Amino acid sequence: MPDSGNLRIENNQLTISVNPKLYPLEAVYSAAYVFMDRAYIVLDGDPDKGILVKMKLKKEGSLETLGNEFNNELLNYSDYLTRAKETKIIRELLLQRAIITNDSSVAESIDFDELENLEEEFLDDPEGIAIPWEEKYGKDENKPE
Amino acid sequence: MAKMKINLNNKFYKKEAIEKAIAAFKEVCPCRIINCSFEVEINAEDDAVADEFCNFVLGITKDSMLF
Repeated sequence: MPDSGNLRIENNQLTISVNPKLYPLEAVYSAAYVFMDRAYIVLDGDPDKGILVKMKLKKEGSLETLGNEFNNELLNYSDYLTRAKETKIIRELLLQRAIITNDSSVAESIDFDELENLEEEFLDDPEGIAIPWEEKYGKDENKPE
Repeated sequence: MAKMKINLNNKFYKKEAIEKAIAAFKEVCPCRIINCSFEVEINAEDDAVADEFCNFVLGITKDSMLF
C-alpha cells in the first residue's frame, strides 16, 4: 500500500488529502474537473477540516502519477484564483471602459476617480517614454477627417 | 439489474446537481436519492455507470459555480 505525501493508494483507488487552509475549495473542483476524462472522482471529507479526493483510473495507468499531476493542477488553480481576485477590480474597470464607448448609460455608473487613480498608478513613467503620438510628432494636418 | 449505492457528500455536492444527473441517467438506469446525506441508489449492470454518475454530478456542480 504505497503512501507518499498526501497520496494514499488502496484497492486500485487513490485518495488525495487536501488541506483547505492551503487550497481553496474552488481550486479542488477545478482540478478535479480537469481529470474527469481520465479518472472517476468523488469528493469527500470536510471542506473546512480536510478534503479527500478519491480517484479511480478509467484505463490502465499509474495512480501515483495521476496523484502527482493532480497536486500540480491544484497548485495551478490556486494561483489562478489568487491572481483572479487580485486583478478583479482592474478587469472590471477595463470591461466597463470597453462598454462605455457604446453605451452612454454605463458611464453614469463608473467611478471615474478610481479610474484616474489607476491611471496615475500604472502610468508612472520614469523613462519618459509614454508620450502621446501627437505630442511627439505633431498632428498630421493631411489626415482626412 | 443490480442495485448499487453511492454516497455523495452533501458538503460537496448540490441536491440540484444530483437531481439533474438522475434526470439525465433515467434512460440508462433508474436512480433515486435515498436520504439527505445524498445516498443514491442506482440500478445498473455495470459498476462503471455509478462511477460515471459521480463524475456527471461533479461536472454539473462545478459548472454551476461562477468564479
